[in-house]
Amino acid sequence: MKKALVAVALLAALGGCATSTHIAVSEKEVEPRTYSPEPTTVERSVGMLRRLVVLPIVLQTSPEDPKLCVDPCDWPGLQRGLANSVVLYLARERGYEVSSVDPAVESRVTIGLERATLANAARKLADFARSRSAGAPPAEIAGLVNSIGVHVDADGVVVLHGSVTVATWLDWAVTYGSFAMAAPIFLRATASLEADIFEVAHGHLVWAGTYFKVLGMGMAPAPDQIIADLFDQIEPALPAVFTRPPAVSGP
Amino acid sequence: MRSIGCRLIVALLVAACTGGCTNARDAIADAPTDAAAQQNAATVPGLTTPRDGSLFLHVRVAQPADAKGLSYITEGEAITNVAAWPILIGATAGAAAAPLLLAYAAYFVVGFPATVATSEGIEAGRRSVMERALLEVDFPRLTRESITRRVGARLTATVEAAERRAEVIVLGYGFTKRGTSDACSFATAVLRVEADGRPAIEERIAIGGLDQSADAPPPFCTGIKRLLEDDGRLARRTLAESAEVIGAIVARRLERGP
Repeated sequence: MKKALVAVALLAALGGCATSTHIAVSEKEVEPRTYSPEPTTVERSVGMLRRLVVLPIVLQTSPEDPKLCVDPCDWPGLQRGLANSVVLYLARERGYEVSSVDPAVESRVTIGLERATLANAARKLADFARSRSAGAPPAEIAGLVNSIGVHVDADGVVVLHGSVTVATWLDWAVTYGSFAMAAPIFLRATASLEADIFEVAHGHLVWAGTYFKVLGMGMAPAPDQIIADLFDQIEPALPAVFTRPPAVSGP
Repeated sequence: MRSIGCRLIVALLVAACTGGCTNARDAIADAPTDAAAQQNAATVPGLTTPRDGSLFLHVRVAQPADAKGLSYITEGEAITNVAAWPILIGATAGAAAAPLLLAYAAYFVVGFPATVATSEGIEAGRRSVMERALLEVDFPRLTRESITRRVGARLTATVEAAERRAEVIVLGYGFTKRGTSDACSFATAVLRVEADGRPAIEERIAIGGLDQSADAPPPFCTGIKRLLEDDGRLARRTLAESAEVIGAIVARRLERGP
């Protein structure tokens, strides 16, 4: 009984802490397509992709029915918050020119694709990024990245995907019913998100960052905090003063 | 109490996984060497539309580098350092009142002063890294080099030999505090140009602060701990980049003219 109470105390303590972020992919050689960089001592890799377009977020949430959540879980609000925070953070904090095709973003750009088609494209890129396969991407992936990127005149395509699981009334009932022996059930309440950036010029995955947090009995963190943690380690965009219009290759 | 417990657990987990977590740091290159700068100078004679004529350039710093007001201990570290031992004692001594009281008494006599000393040691170490970074990055020299690599006009050694006189006054640069444990870069300069003995341009250039220039990138903000890792590599690089950016903006504005 005493051990169970200690376990409950530890899990309660875990709620709202234990965040970890990690850079999973960081390619050195990255090529922009919307501008020519001027020679400078400022070195950049993913930061060369000044113009980014963000695809709709691929987010799995659990429980699906918000009524089962112990704390309020506004999944559409979370998704909307994440989508808007990505644009704001990358633009204001890291100097990128960011646009979004996510329908959840008010200032989105439209590229003439159905919502389902966009979501499907984001899912395909997320699946490829998860595989972490080295070398050139398959033609389908490269083509997808290129067509979206060229359409909105971007250097890079950003895909966010992950899952958020929070504690339910059932978890609490089981924990109480088992005299806290089932308390470790709360360890399944986590928030996990990954951001992948593809280079439009070649379709390569050039940067990937991950975010993981054990929520325990706590609520999901605020979307802007998740995004700030996820992108804290991304380098700033190459400053505009080191860019010039792309060279036009004429006959 | 829940928050304190949380910090303790985080501290233990972090201690266990430090090796794995540190390789998550970004692959940021060191600040450019003089050789690299000279090579650039040789290969980049006037990057944009060069303007004719001669120019006397003077770069000076009005105030030394600044990093006042920064918190060198993060909120999490402070809580962990102070609360870790009482919680550990509570967890190990259990509910037995007498050993618990003795253990807490011992903590307040020995443990608490020790944790305070540890915090002060960390803080002094980080402050020293920041001070060295601010001292060793030669901001005016890097700014001047950035301008001379880009400006099209012929630079003269004396004022008398030049048609125009440009003065760049670096009003301030360094880092400023944001939130509880973040730091943001800042750099502010004024460009003054005289042509034919009359003032032609007087413009302000700011990275960060309330009067951020439209042609400047946003200030770089991150946690103080990350900024000062590896002997302040990221802090040095940020300072060097700020100087390069200020110089490049000055060069563009000089070529644009009044």
